[in-house]
Amino acid sequence: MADDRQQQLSAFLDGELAGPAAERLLGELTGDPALRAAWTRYHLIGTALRRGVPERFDPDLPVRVAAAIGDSLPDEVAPAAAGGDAQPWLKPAAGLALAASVAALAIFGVRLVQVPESSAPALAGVAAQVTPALPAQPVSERLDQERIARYLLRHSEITSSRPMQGMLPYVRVVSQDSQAQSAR
Amino acid sequence: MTRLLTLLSAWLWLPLAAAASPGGEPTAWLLRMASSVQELNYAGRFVYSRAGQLETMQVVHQVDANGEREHLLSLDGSQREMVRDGDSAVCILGDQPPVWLDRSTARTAFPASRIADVDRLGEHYSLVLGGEARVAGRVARELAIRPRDQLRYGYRLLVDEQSGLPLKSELLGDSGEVLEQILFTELTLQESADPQWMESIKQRKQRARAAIGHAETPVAAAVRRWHVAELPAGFGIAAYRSYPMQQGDASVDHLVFSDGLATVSVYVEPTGSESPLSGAGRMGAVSTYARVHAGHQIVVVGDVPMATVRQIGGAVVPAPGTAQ
Repeated sequence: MADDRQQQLSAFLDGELAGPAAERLLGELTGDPALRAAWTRYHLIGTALRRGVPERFDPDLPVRVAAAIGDSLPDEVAPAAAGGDAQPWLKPAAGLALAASVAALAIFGVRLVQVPESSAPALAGVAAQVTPALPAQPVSERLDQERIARYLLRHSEITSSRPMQGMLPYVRVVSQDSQAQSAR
Repeated sequence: MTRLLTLLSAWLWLPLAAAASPGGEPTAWLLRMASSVQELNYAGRFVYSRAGQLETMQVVHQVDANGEREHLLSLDGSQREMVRDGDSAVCILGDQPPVWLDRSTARTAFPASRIADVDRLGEHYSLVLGGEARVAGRVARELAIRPRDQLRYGYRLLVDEQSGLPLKSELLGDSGEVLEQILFTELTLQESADPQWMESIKQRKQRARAAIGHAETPVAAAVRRWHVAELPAGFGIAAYRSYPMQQGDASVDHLVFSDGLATVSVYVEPTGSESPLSGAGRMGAVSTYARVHAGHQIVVVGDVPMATVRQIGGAVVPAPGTAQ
């Protein structure tokens, strides 16, 4: 892989690459294992910056695991929309224990991020950053990833019948980390 | 209404989705896209991105007199795929037990939904037809679907001029950020279905069905015990189903609401042995909200902003005249 591709990927992750260049880059990921490997590496670097390097990892580790161990918050959906600094790597999951997050990933590839009831949605990310070691959720405010995944699966079932939705509902189910822990 | 009839007649007149370009009318492009996805024979590869994850996938879709068959396969990581024959599908997700999905009741819940949906979209979304672009080596037309308020998400679609298939679909958040994206990198169209492939998909689904054994099939509920007192603007009830979520569980009432594009599910069940769920959360573009009310667990999920699931979840009450 040429260096400029790596630089572009890095820029993309930093939110500095958008538009046609970003689309071209995404397109090339399909046929370029080296580029995909770089993507995985960059995610691991991000994880390492925040929490230290995992004790051992498979160099062929799929992207999904790298993402699962710490940096797959919905806020980072659009790297192009991110701040362009290291901030995305620093966001802890709001109030959710990170322990065993890989095993807990249920039907849908991204982790459930709880939004505190008391704060406005716009403030949720800020609240998460200033309380890095938030204790367990109070009993009065608790969501469970695996149980929510069951509801999401049935939701996909019904939305998939809507032609306007195209392929999205099934794509969500089949996507990375769709380890159907709870959907038996 | 005149507009609807015009659209409807234009629609029926088209023998095949791919037969003609829909001109400058954005709703016609949307209708054509919806039918192309279901009615054409195609195979392609695409990148799916969400929450900082990228994944490559492959789809094959064919149609003959027996209906649609589809195979969706993730090209990364462990084996994850979906095999669909008509309204029922099997998801094989790594080494987990296969998951059975049956949307037959969902389909009857949205009768003739295409025309009706598109006709009322205009109230809550603005549809704008943009310029041409090139995706996967093909010529596409941009179609933007922008919400008129903050209760729903927007879409940006790049629709293949020739076939009407969406070559690129983006789900957009409040400030225009991309929440989810499907981008085709290769797409091939076929004139007709391959009988051998169709048969192989049917058999794979049947084998998986036999392996799964018992599976609950959601049915339309005979009694509608719950309703939402105050729905967000534009949303109406689209289906009311009742079924056990898992074998041996009590039935859950599943209410489905739609504004013609976005769909929100509400689940109501008696609180059981599991600890109650409460609070709001996000999984990618999907918002979720849970609370306990009158001895019942209420869970709301939908690909809409958080405010919308909160509003719906907060307004779930027993239907008038029904005893709980």
